[in-house]
Amino acid sequence: MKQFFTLLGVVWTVACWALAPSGIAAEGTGNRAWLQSTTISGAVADEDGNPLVGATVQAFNTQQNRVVAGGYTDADGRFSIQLASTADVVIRISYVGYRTEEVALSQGVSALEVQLQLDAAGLDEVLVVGYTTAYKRDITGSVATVRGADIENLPVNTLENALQGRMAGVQITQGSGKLGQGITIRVRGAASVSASSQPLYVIDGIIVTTDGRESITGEATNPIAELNPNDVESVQVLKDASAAAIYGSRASNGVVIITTKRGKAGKTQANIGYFYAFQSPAAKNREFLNADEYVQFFTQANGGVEVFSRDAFLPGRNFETNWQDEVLQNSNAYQVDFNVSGGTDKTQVYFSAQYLDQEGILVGNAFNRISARLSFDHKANDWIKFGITSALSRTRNQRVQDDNAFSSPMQAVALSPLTPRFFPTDEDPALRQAYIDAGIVNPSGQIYIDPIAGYYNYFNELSDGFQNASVIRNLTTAYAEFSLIPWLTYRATMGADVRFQTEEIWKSRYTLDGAPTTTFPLGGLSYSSYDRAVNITTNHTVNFARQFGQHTVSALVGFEYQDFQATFNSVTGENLGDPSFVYVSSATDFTGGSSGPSDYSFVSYFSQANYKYKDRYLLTVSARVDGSSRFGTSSRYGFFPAASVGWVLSEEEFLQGLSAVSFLKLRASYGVTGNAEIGNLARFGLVSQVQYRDQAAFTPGSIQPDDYQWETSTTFEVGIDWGLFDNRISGVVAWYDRQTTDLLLSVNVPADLTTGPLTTLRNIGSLQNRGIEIEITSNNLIGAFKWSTTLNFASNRNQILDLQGQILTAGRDAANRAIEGQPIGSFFLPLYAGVDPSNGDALFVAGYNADGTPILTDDFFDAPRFLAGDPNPDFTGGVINNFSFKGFDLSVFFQFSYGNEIYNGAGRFMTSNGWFADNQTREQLSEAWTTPGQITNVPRLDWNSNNGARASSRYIYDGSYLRLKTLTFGYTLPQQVVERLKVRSIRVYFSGQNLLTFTDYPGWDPEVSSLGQVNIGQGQDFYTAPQIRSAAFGVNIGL
Amino acid sequence: MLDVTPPDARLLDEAFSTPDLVEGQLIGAYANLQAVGSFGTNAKFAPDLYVSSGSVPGGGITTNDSIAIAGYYLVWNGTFNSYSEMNGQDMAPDNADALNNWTANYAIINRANLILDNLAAVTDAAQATRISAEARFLRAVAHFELVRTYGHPYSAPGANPSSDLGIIIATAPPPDGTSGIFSAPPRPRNVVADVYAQVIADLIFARDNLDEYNDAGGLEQAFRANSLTASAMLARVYLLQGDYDAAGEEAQNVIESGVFTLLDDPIDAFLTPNSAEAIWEVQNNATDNSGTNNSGLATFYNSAGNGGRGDARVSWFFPSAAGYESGDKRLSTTTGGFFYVSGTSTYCQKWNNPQSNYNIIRLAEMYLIRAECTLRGWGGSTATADEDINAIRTRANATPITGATINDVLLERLRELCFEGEEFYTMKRVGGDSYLRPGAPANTIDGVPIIDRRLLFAIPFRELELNPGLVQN
Repeated sequence: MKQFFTLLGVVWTVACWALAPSGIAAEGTGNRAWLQSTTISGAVADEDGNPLVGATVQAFNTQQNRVVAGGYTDADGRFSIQLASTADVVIRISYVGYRTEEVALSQGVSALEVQLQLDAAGLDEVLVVGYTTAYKRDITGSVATVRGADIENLPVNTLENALQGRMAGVQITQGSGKLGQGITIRVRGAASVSASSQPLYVIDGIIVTTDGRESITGEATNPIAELNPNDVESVQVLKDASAAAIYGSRASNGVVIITTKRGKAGKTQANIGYFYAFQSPAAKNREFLNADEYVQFFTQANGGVEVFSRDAFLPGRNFETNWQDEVLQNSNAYQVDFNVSGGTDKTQVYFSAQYLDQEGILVGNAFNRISARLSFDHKANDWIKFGITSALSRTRNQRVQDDNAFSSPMQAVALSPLTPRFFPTDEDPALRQAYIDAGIVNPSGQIYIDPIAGYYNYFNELSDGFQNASVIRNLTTAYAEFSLIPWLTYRATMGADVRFQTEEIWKSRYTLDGAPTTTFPLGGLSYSSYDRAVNITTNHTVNFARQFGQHTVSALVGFEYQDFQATFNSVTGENLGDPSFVYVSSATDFTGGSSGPSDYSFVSYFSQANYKYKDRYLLTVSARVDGSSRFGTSSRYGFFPAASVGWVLSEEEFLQGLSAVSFLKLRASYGVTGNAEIGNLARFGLVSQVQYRDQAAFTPGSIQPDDYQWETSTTFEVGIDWGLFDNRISGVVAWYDRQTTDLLLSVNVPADLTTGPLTTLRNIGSLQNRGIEIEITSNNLIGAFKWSTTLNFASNRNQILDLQGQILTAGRDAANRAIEGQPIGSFFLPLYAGVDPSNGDALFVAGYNADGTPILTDDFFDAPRFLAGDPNPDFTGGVINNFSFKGFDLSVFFQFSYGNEIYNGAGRFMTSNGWFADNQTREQLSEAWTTPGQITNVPRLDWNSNNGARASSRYIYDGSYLRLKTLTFGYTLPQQVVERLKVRSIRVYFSGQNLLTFTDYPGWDPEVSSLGQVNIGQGQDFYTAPQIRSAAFGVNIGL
Repeated sequence: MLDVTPPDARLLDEAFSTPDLVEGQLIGAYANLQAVGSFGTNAKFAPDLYVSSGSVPGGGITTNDSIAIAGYYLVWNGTFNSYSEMNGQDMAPDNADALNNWTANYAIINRANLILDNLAAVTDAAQATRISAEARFLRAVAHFELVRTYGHPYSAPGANPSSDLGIIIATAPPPDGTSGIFSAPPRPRNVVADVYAQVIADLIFARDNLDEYNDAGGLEQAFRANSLTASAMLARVYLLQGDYDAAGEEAQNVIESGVFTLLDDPIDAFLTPNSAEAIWEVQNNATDNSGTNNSGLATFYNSAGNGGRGDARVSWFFPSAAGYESGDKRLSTTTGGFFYVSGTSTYCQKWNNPQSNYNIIRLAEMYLIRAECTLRGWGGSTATADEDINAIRTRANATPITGATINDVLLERLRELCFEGEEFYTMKRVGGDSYLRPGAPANTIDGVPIIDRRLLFAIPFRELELNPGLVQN
């Protein structure tokens, strides 16, 4: 593992040395001119002279400090704007990824030729920072950015997949290779212990619904799986308190701001895209015993006496099944994508449609999405502008069971290799019938329960059941903006995020869950649920922006209200009979049902002010007051202030002589954010009603917590934004310290002091996340052959500072816990100490002698728990190399995580030394203790008895990995060829995801989180499905 | 704009404000009996797992049939590691069911205590007394299940009930709210004798303050506690205490009441909910039960073909070890027996439907308790020991016996009450499993000494951490 990181370092160093500073671009300057009512036209090109299409052209009046006219370049890169007066007007030309040029108008000049320079550092990029936008140059907080263009057309099914590893300090983990499942995002580590640590999502200025409805038997679904990643113009993640504090109580976990594409003035342009992807499991298979080894293994485990004969399933017949190969598959996906954009300088529209159809790498798992978006902007006159964006999508997800269920697909590996998937049809019919009568085989001939290992056969879930989730979602955002006076703007935004989710589950009588019972002799089970979430947000802001000489001042005041209402109902029916009847309506009995609302609301008032002097001294202050229904009346409102300062040293005269330094900014910020992601009704002690013998029975739902207040995080950050050699190399180095206090802890309650609930909410304790982040972007080669490298690196140290003795555990075997002085989720387990060479018994640490040497015991009862590992990575990051030459482009993106550990809870079954008849991992056969004196780490095999298969550090592994996350190779056809085909452009490409993985983790995949979005129960693997590797071939045609 | 009212739920501080709400709380406490850690699974299942670790008398394991014939009583073939640890007499403190039993029983106890502390709204004195008696009954049952699971036996060779640690006696209502819980002092384990005394006091209160039929709710005899339920449980408790006179009296009280009758077919006491033989049952139905698929007694005890997982099977050696006669109805695997055969394995039929009741205690056990008490010198019986044993035997078509010995009673208990969770405690009480395994060393169960932590549940690791008053077994 280590060598790969060393290798990375070497590559990086060489790249840096290869750099040569090149010439500095000339800047257009001229005398101030006086012209009357005229047309200014011109052409905009890149540094190689190729026309730039859709560049923004604005005429800016420096006296009035406002834009007086504007437009976009057309398909030939040309523009034309009408000006009433050219007095005090400069023409400002900007284009994403290029440095903005300002051209003063000289007398008599009405035609401009402008070449834009690549803006490597992105300093002139306009970032969406909450309710306003700002130039990256002027930002004093910490904001990570990904451009939509960088993540287009990747063969992934959700935006987060595409963002993974691209932003320093934004750790994205997809729990498994199951499609459409929830994804964990941690901005600079977990800021909370019991409340959610998922960031806030804001799409086009509106807070969207992110709490996925948990399926009755599956994991949570992904709340933004409905978003078409190709509609994304940019993603900004607000990381520090200064940037995020404008979102106050919602912002402790960071804010993900997604801006979608909108129409651009100019010639109408359309794009058609298609890809077809070949998919397979991203990681290697685990090695399990084959049939012969299985027989040998259990014979050895039983002291030489055979337990299972080779023909144990059917005397006289030898079968061999590799269940892992049965359940994992190679599969396909394809996507068709269309968008069109166009408009005039008054009205712009954008429309897109997309269809994605993806089959999983787990047999039975599939996902598809159809989505469309329409965006419309209109400028009514000089002072009124309004627009609307509406996206409608439907996803369908054929889901599979959660990891812990016996019917979970990967648990098929526990079945015996001696058992066939189907009872052979050529066998004696009477014998076959006997197996069917015994319930071992279904009438179809498929094995129901493996009689050897005793496990249910997952494939009955597919042949005799389904679990289909479908989501229909509409996200509509409308705004109106009024420029009351040139420097004062009022903007009103209204958004509705409406989500309908239905889930249909059916299990025939030939499944574990649908098996006939005495009460329901027909068997069969059907479940249907319906969930509607309506999330209405409105916000109103007044913006002030004015320049006084060398002083630039802007300010904002605003109000926001969010109202979330969800209703849910479900019904379960049983006794369906013949497997052709699958829905609840066919059931003779309704055996379960639920319904009920789940509501919350937030009211917020906020304000922000920015001050800039001489383009070099920057100050931002902000404050937000949030009120939430989740808090009691005594602490209903929270106050969240922040301030930050910046100093652009490169503007100072004393640095002017240092030509190598093109940009240098020091910044510092301090602020308070909050976290309110607790249960909607957590502040109540509740009793709910159940039934017992058809009588009303009350059951305690929760313990009455003491009054609690907002969990708050205070963050201090210092950073340096820098650019060298005319920004050929640029980057960010930041250090932060975030202290979270008044933790809303879900603490364990002693069972002898409660009527049932085993946890309660307490408002105590603190934790800290401290770390550094480094981002470097370098244009190693420019010219015809281009090579650029982007590196991001983050190291976060999470530490629980104080829990006041509370005990908080999570995960399988309660392996994870929050311990004072340790990172959250640290593994706390008995320590496995290898094998007693004299008898092969597993040993554990019972304690320590005064000299620090461990005292060993073979009696697990005497083995206390100790700190045993840390699921948090020491550092994470990514390296992207982009190359282009003529029409060819190549992007190679490696992503890594180092130092995180994984607890494989399934080890107690699959590496159990023969405690169970589960198929066992192969290495045990060769490494297990057999003879006195033998030194090994695998205890003696012992059929039916527990020699070391305890919850212990034995099953903790290094989860570090380096992964070739994305590799894209494209070719854009030459213009002459394209013109003959009467189209604007054609690009063909190959794009691969997860093509290579380097890791020492012996399981399926080191990128694993069986429990999903959790703070404490991290790094758990329990028959968790590997990630998907995909190789997509695609084409994009511009019309 | 910020006011949200909890839908469909009562706030805790209003939860006892009317007599109907208090009654609902009481029914809710009964509903807890369905929990895995109570009679939903473990109270009936866990003790039997300890009886046999899978050793086979007189031979090795042979190919193919290894699963079906191992052991001499219950054969555990499942992969729930919590149950595998019990079956291996090797429970670790982090065992999930060590925690399940602890939490389920204390939930019942605390709900009972909360009811006892919140009777102000029940102004009818008779109603208040009845509710108190039922609450104390449930509290006693939960304490009893805890003490015999986590503590050494009261009466057994080598047992010292006045110094052996039992469990925490809880008779006060749980603290009101979070701050009360975290300012509570440490609660140490009480000794076994004190726990028994508390259990007996509560059961006597219930026996003396409830009618023979509890008409609250107007449902079956076996639904809610009544004076006979309390007597039956007292008989069980006294028997484990070695107080044969008191046990005999209580068993006789139940038998002589005439409320219950032995059914013609022994298995019908399990197949028919709330039958005439049933003294007390967990009330399960299709919509409300102890779990149907991945947990619950029926899931473990039944074959794949019968809706279960086939995890708990009956050893092929069991019928001969228990000494069933060939004509014994209970042995039949085809009609009305306690067993059935599926594939090559034998399964117990007593827990065959997860959507129907689980019997907790029934009349047959009362006859066997009375017979044993008579044989152990109690002189108050209105029937002879032979008559009591034969009441059980004749309905099963077994030959009546004369001159019954204590060993005969123990074997009859085994044949009649097998896989009902009582056998393990009987073995501890009478000094080992030699009545089932002739020649087995005295004072051992499956080779493990009776007074040994391996035959106890571990005090849950989670609770040890939360309560400094606890010490591990």
